[in-house]
Amino acid sequence: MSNDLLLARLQFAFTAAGHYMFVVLTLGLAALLCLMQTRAVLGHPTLRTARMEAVRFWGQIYIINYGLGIVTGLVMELQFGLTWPGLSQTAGEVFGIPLAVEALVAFFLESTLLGLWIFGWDRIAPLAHTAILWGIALTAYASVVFILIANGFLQDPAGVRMQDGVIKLESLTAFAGNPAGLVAVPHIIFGSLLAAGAVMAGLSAAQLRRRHLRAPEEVRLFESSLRWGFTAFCVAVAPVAAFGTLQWDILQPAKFASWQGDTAALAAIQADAVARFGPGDYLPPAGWVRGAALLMLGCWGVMAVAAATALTTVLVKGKAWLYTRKWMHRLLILVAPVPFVAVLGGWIFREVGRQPWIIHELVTTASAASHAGAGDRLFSFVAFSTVFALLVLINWWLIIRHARRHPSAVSLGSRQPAEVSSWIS
Amino acid sequence: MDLLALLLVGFFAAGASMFAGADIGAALRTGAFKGDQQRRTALAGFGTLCLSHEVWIVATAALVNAFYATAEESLFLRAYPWIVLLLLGWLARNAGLWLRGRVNSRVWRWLCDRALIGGARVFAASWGVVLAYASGGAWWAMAANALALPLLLARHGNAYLRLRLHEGPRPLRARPLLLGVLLTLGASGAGFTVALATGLLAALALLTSDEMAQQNRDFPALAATAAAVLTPLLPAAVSIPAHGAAAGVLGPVGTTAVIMLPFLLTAQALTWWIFRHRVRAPMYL
Repeated sequence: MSNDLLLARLQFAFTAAGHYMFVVLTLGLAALLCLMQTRAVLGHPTLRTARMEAVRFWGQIYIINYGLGIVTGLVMELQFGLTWPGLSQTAGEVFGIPLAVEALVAFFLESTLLGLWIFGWDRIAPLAHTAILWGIALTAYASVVFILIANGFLQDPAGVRMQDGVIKLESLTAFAGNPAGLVAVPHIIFGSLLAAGAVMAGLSAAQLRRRHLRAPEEVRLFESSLRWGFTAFCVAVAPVAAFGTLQWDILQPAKFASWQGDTAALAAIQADAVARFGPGDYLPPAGWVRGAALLMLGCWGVMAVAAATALTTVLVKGKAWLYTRKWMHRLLILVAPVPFVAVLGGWIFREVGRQPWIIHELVTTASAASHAGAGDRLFSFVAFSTVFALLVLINWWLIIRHARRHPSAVSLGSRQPAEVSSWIS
Repeated sequence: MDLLALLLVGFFAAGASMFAGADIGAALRTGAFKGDQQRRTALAGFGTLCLSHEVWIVATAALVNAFYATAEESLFLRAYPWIVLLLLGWLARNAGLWLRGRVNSRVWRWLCDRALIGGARVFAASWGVVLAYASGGAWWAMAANALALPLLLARHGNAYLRLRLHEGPRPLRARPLLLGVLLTLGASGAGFTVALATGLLAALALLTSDEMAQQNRDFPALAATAAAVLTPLLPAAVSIPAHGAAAGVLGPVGTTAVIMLPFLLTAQALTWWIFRHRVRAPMYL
């Protein structure tokens, strides 16, 4: 593989992985916050203020994460044109559809609603404010569906045909209903819930380790948040694997054979491909594919054991053990980053496993790469990789920093002085 | 059908220029606010609507990618490093804006301000260069646009802040002659008539804006700068559609866009209505 192609693939890999590090938390936290705010607004009025304080605390983490995630998203949108112009050339008529619909429908509404949620805290009626948050969560999940339809098309094109070197849409329903895309959606949704739950539980546990420095109502807040995070974690850990297993049946043969380490099957696939497409290397880097799958499954194993241990303890010894036992806190803190490693493994498995194809058995990655000069390519690779890595680091530094403070020190939703006359002057 | 594609892209590009452009311009002007309280108030002035305005950029990019994939591909190849700079500038501006209030340290705030203002400047200049590329301009057209866009957007941003803040900044001299000449040069790739029209319209709009500001009529002044900010799109609007829109994608995406338009506009209008009051104190940012 040429240096140029490697750089292009690495750039896309780093930026996509960086972007997803933000997205996985955004998706899961949006769902959790929805449930928390709904409970606060519809629950007992005397408990509303305390519950909303928790929403504000975790909401600020959500916003820290979201704000940086958006820009990484736009870089992804434009990278298709920058790095993989061949994709637009061959499949532009088809691939652009889900991406455009995602931008117009899901993202447009989501971002607008988020602005309302952040800055309209005391101006919008509580029920409407909660409804806005539900809107944010639903549009976020809609984004997942559209993006996976696009990715599913790359994995296993359906509802299209190749005509004079251009891919044309034959059936919109087949294209959009492609199982290669849609079957992954619940897996992603539960995966994000797992991540958000783990983070909320871990950060709450970190606070509870220093409960002697916190006022009683603050301790109650973190105990409650720990419950929320832990419940989400336990609820999601089995379904994420179940929905993951559903996908084994629809994997590309080369990906499946790489995972199994079946050299005979791989050789047969290569021979078959050479017969159909001419000379070339039609196998993904099997070591990477298998390694990534093992990483993902290994992480899941760790999380399953952690969930089982903690859940059994709670069932046998009672909830108080969740809040007070040091080993429990340490366990939850250590488990918090594991979902993020798992999703990295998952995406590497999914995306490296379909190489050398950018569109399975229709367009190779090499042929879709940009003809930009080496200097340009190196510039964008270094610039984006560095900036994305920096953003991920800053993001987590800010989140952890924020999560260690008093809940009252939250800027989100804090009372603001009244304002003056309308700008329509 | 080609007309529909052009109208849709034009509509969202116009929205992006006017709304997101105002936020870029306002970011460019934050340096004029001395003192942390005043600066944070200025950030609240445009920050509350920033998220709603950014979506216009994303929608435009997605539609250009869908409808004009071939034209986009050739543009990106030629203007590669400038697209990268554009994205980096935008990244920096956003990072500076959203992270500024998260750490209570003068060094942190200084760094975020540099990212905010510097990022906005890089974005505006790169945007100018990309527009010049899109209309097939020579290197001096790109240079002219790179100078013009930050100046133009700063004026638009200033007019915007005068409307959004209880204690807005002083009006910025519009410089219609300078900007008119620069924009004409920047648009030269699209031919003499279009270039002249661009420069003249921009100069006229800026003159109007100056006059309105002098009469203390803030909203008409903003409307005039908004019109000025639309003019650099003219040469691109003339050049890009010559490549023709992708046929198969117009149906699904065009229909989605037309159906979604009322909802999107309602959501935007709702946001503007809720945040209609002038800002006099810092907010989350």
